[in-house]
Parts: sequence; structure tokens; C-alpha cells
Amino acid sequence: MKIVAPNNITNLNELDIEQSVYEPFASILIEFIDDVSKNILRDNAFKEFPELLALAFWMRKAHIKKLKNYFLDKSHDKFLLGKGIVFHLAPSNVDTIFVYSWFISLLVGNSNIIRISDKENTQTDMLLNSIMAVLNLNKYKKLRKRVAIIRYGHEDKITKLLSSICDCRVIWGGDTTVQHIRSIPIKPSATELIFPDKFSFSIIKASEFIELSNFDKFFENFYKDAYSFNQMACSSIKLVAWVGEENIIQESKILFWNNLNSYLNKRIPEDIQGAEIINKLIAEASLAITNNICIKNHKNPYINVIELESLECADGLYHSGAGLFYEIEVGDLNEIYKFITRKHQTIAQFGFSKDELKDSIKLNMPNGIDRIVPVGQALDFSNIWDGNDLLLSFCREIDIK
Amino acid sequence: MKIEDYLDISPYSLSKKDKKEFLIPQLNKLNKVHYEGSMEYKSILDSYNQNIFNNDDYDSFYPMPVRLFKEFDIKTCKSEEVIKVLTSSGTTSQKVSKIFLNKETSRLQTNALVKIMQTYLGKERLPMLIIDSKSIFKDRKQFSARGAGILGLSNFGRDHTYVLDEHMTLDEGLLKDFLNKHGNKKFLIFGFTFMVREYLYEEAINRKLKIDLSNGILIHSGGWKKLIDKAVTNEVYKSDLNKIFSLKNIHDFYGMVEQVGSIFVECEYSFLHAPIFSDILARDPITHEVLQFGHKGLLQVLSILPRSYPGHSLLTEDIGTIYGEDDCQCGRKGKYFKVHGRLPKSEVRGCSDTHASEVQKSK
Repeated sequence: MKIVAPNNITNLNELDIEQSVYEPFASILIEFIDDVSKNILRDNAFKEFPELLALAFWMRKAHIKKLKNYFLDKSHDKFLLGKGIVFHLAPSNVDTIFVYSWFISLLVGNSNIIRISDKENTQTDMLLNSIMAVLNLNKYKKLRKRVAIIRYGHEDKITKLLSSICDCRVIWGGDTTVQHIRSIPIKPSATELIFPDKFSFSIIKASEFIELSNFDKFFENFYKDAYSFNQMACSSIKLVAWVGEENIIQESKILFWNNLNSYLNKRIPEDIQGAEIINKLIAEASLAITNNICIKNHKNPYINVIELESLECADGLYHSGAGLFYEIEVGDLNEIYKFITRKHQTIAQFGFSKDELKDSIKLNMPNGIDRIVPVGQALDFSNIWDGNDLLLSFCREIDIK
Repeated sequence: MKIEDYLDISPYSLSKKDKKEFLIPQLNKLNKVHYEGSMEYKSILDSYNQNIFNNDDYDSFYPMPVRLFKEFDIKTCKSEEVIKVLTSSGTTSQKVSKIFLNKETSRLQTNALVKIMQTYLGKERLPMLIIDSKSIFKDRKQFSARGAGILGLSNFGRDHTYVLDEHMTLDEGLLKDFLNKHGNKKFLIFGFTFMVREYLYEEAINRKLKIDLSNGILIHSGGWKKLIDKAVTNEVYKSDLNKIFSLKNIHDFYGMVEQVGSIFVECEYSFLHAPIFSDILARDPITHEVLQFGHKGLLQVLSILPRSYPGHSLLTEDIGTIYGEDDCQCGRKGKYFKVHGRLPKSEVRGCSDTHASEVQKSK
């Protein structure tokens, strides 16, 4: 275990975290987050990590002000205050989640405890260094009493201690981890936010895709959604669902995979190395054994396509990332919803109008789906996540009649 | 010719063309046997549309990732025909490979190993020093890779002497007795690469022991990972053993529990050699295209010994370089190569915690 902040204690028993809250979007909070953003953006080392830069842009004053207006709008005649102490358990190896989770909670005035995995990770270390440098500035002395960052492995004793003092616990992680941590008690008055495993996919209207004139733009967006984080994020596109008439779909598919192939020849997913390729082959062979599938050879090591009968078939399948795509076909958008479960998070869509999508949701009232975004925005972080508005979830409302 | 006929000729005597004429039909036959005998293997070949049994070159055989033997029980023979299950603990997960052997496979493995080892050791059984502990044979039905390796090599020895106790401590007395009795004539030493280094070599230095192994032939295996981390290369390893023990005759071998028998032994020029029972390819780690000689790649190993499980064409996770075929200075025919280590492990990324990253078999 390593206590990153506060840097003047070595034992968790000495942890004395401020329980009173700031006013939501107090200027010192906005300024602090903006300073972190500036600190990251002026550091050249961050340039090679697009997901860290995206985070830094999200933290800029201009964007935080937008969040503030959004919050004020949502709460205009209500009285919202932070819950107190929020305990965030970040997943290992997703470098940015802990910052989003922490800063959104901070913005509404909370004190925060952040658990980060003790596994070495360059991006996490870079982020922590940058944030700590700002936090240690004299002007943020007051904020230092409102944050604890602890790096440790799966040590229940520590989780138990930290859980016992928080007013809200946020768990990001795989289903097993989430289940396990939920068995560790929190205060009776505390609330909990859960972000378990999710599955995301793309829907493409074949009749629109076939009309495309600029494939590069499309595949730049598709690449972002499918190949970032080695395709292993909850919001990564792992399945492509074709919507339309059979013959148009067939034509579109050929166009799609051929053009993705050309795009990848120009832009190689550097993250994918030999080990990832082997994992993908093992995933394929495992699927071949457990399910009756057909594996098409695309002669590109970064594209493997497995045709499935329906969305339901993808349920519970092992996915290794590295450019493994399931593919399904439906005649009509509404057929997709038959198999939607709570596990389904993001739909990255192409070719549908907002009204079409809204109507289909209204008609089908699916059990799952947290967000529908244009292809290219699947991994963009939003304060509304998995059906919760984080800004509001970190608050309690005082009802004054 | 049948495979048995090839057991009578030297394992390094066939040049490229003759070897291919022998191996390819055998591999095609095996491909069919396993396709018809294993539901799992059939499903995989069918999915890739690779159910082809008249391949004309090594690279046409589906290279099955070895790790699949950890995820599934894959065998071609009937359960009641299984006489032995070989297991190996993996470095990547807690799961173990399970390799099911029937009588025929087991016999072929032993015979092939005998043919290969005899070219290094001669036909006579030699007094055998084993740098390991007897305690690893607690369970007779489940064989660990280490146990299987020792037992396989034991056929070439007599007076088997295990010089480590159950805590891996060197028993000086036993070692000295053995050397007094056999040290002045040719004898065999077997052990795992890092164990020979750590429990014999380093221990001898620590205890300032004077040990003469100049008549010994050391056969060792098990990989270099632990030693490379300590900057002990094969060259350093050999010269150190020579310096301290006057041990000159040292042969590493590359083999795996998934292909016991048809092992690749290191020659006097430090190259590993493919015997007539097996062949090897290096593939680009990303595109998996077969590489020219001299290029580092992912190793695919082919063997005609596995009859009870589809292990005749395997994609390893080892990186190596094949330097040539039929023209090694040592005179042995067949491909010769070196293994550099394992493919660097991937980092698990994504929202899912690593805890849940194990393969989930679907319903």
C-alpha cells in the first residue's frame, strides 16, 4: 500500500479527511481543475496519449463552466449539496477513470478518497504526478484536506476501513470485482454507485453507408471507437449490427471491411502486439469450440470478423480485443431491441436520425442501453454514465417547502 | 514408409526434400485422425474452413495456439485409452495444460527420444546424476512437466542419483559418492537449466566445493527466463560450468509438454536442431506470415508423434530465429535455430478489471 495523498501520513489510521462540503462549483474547485489541465497540456510527455489529452481538455475552464451551467440548469430551484466523503474504486489499467470520477465529485463540493491499483502504469503515474504538483501549490492547501489517494492491490482490510468512513462509494470494475467489493459494508446512510462490465456495439444503416463518399472520415471515427484501449473498454465497439435490406447489407459489408482494411494499412494500431494477436486467435478458437461459428479471413491481422445469428449470441462470449468483431444483420432497427439486456451500454450509430432512434426507444422500451452516440464518440466521457448523472448522484437534495 | 521405419535411421539424416516427403503425408494423416477424433479440433478447423487433408507444405497446417490445451480438455483417443496425463503449469495463468497420452503416443515419444538422445549419449545406459529432488514424484498419475522430463531422460541412465533434497539443497555426500564411483568414466547429468545454475553451480561456489564433472554430459532444459534476468546467457552458462567443474559437454534442449519426445537438442555450435520427427517455422508475430531464415519470429512446431491429441501443429508463444536447414557446421541435417525467450506479455486494458479477464466459456 502506498499513500500518495495526503503526503504527510504513512498510516491510514492517521487519515483525517474533511467531511464538510464546498458549495458546488466553488471557484477554487474550478481553478484547481483548470490548473491541472494547464499543467498536463504544457507537458510534452502527454502528447503521445490521446486519452490523457482528451481528459485535459475536459478539465479546461471553458468546459467546466459548461458543466456548471448544466448543473445550475438541472438544479435551478432545488438545493443540492455534496454528499460528504466519496470513495472511488478505480479499475486497474484504465488510466483516466479515476480522475473523471474524482473531479466530478469534487466539483459538486465533496471530499474524495481514491483507490488506484498498485500495478505500475505509466499513464497513471504521469497523471498522478501532474495532479499532485498542482495540489501541493500553496493556494490549494485547503483542498489537500479533502483528498486521499491510496494505491493498493485487492486488500479487503483497506477497502473495509475506507468504506466505513465514506458517504458514497463508487465502484468501477469487472463484475467479479464489483460483486466482491459490494460485500464489504458501508455506513447505513451511505449510497453506492456501480459501474460493472458492459458491452457496446455499433449499428449501421446499410442504405446510408453505401452512399458514403468519404470513407476516411468514417473510419477515423470508427477506429477511435473500436481500437482505443485495445478494444477492451466497456464502450468499445465489439459488434457491428447491419440494418437494412439483405442485398444492400451484403454490398455494404464488402465496402466496409475492405475500406477498414485500407484505413488500417495507413494507420496501424500500435497497441496491438504479438501477445494480443495470440489472445485473439485463442478467443476465436474457443468460440469455434463452444459455438457454431464461421471465421472469415480478412488477411489483416487487426481485423477478425465472426458472423453471429443474433445479438443474443454475443451474450457472454469471451472477447479478447485487438480487432475482433462480431457481425449481425437485421432487417429493421426494432429487431435489435429484442435481445438488449442491462449489460448493453453504448450504441455507436451511423445513418440514423435522432427522431428515428428516439421513436425506436419509445416503441421498444429496452431493458438496457445507456447511451446512443454517433460513431466516433463511443469513448467520449460524459457526466451521464451508465444511466446515472454523476453530478447529481454525488449530491443530496435538501427539500425546502 | 511407416513412422516405425524412420526410427531405425539417424534422426538428423534426412535432407530437406526427403524429410518433407516423409513428414507431410504423416502430418496430413494426423490432421485427419484428429479432425475425425476430436470434436474440439473439428470445430476449429471447420470454423476456419481449414478442413483440408492434402496440404503440401508445413505452413498450410493450422497452427493451434498451445494455450488452448489449458482452456479445454482436447483429446483424440477414448477416455479409457488414456494411460497418462501430462500437465504443465503456465506462467500466464494458474491454469495447466492437460495432455492426454494413449499407449501409442507414449511409445512413440519414448522411441523418438531414445533415437535423438542416443546420438549424443551413445547406446549404452550411463550412470545418471539428476539435479533435482525425488520428492516431485508424489503423484504417479499426474505428471508435471518437470517430472515427465526427468522420467523421459531416466531411460538413458542407470544408478539414478537425485542430489537435491526436498528443500532443493545440495547433498554433498551423495554427489561425492556418485563421483567416486562413476566420475572417471562417461556419465550423464540431467537437470533444469536454472536449477543446475542455482542449486549446483552457485551452491558449489558458496560452499567452495571442488567438483570434477569433466567426464559428464549435461543435458538441460526448461527455459532461460530466470537466467536472462540475471544476465546469464547460454555462453556465460557454459563457460562458467566449464570453469568451475571442467564440464565441457553441455546440451540445452527445447521441448514442451505438448510435444514430448520430438525435442530439439543443442549441437556443439549452440544451435537447436529439428529431428526427422518434427519441423519448425518462424512466423511474424503480428501477421503470422512465415519468415525467411535469419528473422526473429513466433515459433510454430510440427511433430508426427501426437496421436492421442491434436498437438501435431502448434503455435508456441516463444520467439526464435531459424538460421538455416541442412547446413549447420555440426553436420546434422534439418533446420537449426535458437530460442530467444517468450513473447512479451500483453497488458490487460479496459474497464473490466484484470480479475475478470480469464476466458469465460459461454453457455
